[in-house]
Amino acid sequence: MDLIQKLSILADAAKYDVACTSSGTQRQNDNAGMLGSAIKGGICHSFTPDGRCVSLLKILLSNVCVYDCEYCINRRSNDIKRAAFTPEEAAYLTIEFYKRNFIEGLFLSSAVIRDPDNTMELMIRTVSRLRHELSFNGYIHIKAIPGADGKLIEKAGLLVDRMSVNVELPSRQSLLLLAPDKKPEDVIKPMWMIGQGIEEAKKSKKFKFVPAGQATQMIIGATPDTDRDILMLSERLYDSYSLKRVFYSAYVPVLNSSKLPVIKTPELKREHRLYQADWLVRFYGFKAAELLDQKAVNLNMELDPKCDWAVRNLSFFPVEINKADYYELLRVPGIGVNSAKKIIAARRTHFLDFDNLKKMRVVLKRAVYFITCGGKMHKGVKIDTGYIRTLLTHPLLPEKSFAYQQLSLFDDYKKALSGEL
Amino acid sequence: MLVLLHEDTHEGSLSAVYYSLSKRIKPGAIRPENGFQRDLFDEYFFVETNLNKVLFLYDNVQDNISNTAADLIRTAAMSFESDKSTAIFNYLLYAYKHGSKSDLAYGEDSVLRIWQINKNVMTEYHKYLGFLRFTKLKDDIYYARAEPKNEVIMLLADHFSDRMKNEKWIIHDTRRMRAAVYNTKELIQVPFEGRDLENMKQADEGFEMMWCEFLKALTIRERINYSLQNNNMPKRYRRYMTEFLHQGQSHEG
Repeated sequence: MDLIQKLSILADAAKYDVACTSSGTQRQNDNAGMLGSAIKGGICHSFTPDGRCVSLLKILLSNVCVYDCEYCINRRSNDIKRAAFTPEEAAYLTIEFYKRNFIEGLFLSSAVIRDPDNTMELMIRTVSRLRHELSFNGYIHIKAIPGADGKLIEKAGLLVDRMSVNVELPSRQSLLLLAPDKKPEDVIKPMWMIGQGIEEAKKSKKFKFVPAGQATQMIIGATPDTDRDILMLSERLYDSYSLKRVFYSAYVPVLNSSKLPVIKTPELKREHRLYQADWLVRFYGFKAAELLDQKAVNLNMELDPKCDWAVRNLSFFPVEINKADYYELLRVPGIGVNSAKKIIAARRTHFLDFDNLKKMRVVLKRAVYFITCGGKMHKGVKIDTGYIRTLLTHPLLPEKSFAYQQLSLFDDYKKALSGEL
Repeated sequence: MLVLLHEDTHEGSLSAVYYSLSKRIKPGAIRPENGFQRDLFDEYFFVETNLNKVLFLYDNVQDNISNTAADLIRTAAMSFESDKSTAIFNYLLYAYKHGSKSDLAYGEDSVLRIWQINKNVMTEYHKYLGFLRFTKLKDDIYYARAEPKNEVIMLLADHFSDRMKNEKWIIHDTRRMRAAVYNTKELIQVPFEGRDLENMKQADEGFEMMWCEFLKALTIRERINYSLQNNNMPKRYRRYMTEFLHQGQSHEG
């Protein structure tokens, strides 16, 4: 089998791994003999027709698997084409793609070849060839194989930028149901070890261990787990295992199984809402329990999670643009990290009114219901849950059916909704 | 009104800005010499490009305002916007008065405008960091083409002179007919039409086809979303991209 056929099979097999980011490390190419660098924010090199970013050479080393997980396309009992790269081939492809600026680096995963240790050793050989023999200084992300020996995890962590172990399913029951060969402990243990390694490296400052942090992935919609279960788990992973990212992947039916749900289209909207909520937990100072409680266990599909929180917590508002601190600003729907930082910087020299905000391109479409400038709300806007919820969820409501409010005020609302204000 | 004209390069722009600052004149506009209709009632004066004056201006801005300000005017000068030079001039008038405090004074129109222009240039630069494609020519020279709206090839060249330190490469701006050329030691910018390239071409060892094959394999059919692909990778960047050059590849909708 030639290289191009192998690539086709082993990229196809890797495509359901969503994490293709190359972010988290800033590294100049300081040594004369090296190839490559890493940019903190990551770089997207292409976008496939599904709109996803392609940043890394995302491949499996092999798709020949000894496991038989229900949801996985590479399961032993599935009749598909099988292939394997040698470590040398995988390293060679990485270098040649890199020099043509196709990629930021390598994202290496693998099916379990013989046993976890053997698989991990082959992956380490690939990475070590890149780093030591081919002087590759670009980005490398590898998967830790659940069940692999701790020494191997440690060895790999010293060579790569990012490591990840896929949780795959957000609860023990789901995992036992769909991945009977994987023990939940096998997933948690390497995560915990990587987390420890990262902490140690940070403290000692003498060596680098997984400098771009640890990530994981969960499949959404294959099991009955609620958004609340999922978010609470993510929060715990961020807090206790110092994870950098949790990725969510809407379940795409690739196989028929009596244990898997029958769905026509993947739950992309739900996936999107989970990412939004995830961002709120990581960067906006929200707690998962604030976003979802025992009563509302799933995210609202109509309103984004922050808007949804805001209309349920109107007593927090309005927020005064010229006085509120950074985290108060971040709680305003429509104001993100960039806008909040801009506002804080700008008000050191200027008192800000709505016109300033508009010029600074702070998106007022949603924010306008929740803020004051110099103690005044925007003209024609009032704070009321039902009113705001209607406006936010039906921005394109035709005028006639817009019965909730008096028509005389309607023009202002329309402008507010289209962002013209 | 007096209109200062300059060569359509970032050095030309900053030379004209330097000229009006040093002569203490406040022109009605400062703009590139080409691409507009001259008005009968305006007075035009062409300012020669002077690299020493540009370097002097950077230093002076760094010392008297801030490093951020120096970066802001350098990047803004690379913009395709015809009001960029006037915007730099207005910004500097404000910034010289208020010092480094002006860096983030978004409440001030001239400061806000310089940031907006910067954002546009930096966005295009960042897109090209990913979308630029090198083809391997004879003698192991890597060659890339781009037709950026803004003058970003020297920014790109800075990036690649670190990343591909031991390779020889050329980044060709086909809009401005200039190229950044790197020979593993020095980086220079030269006028470049790319005429000799035909002789330099050689068969790629199959990596371009492999790249196309790879992208095809990565696509999840159940999630096809061309408008998302178009938003993330606008069509104007695709002209020289490997995955769109090879016929028969269904990478696009």
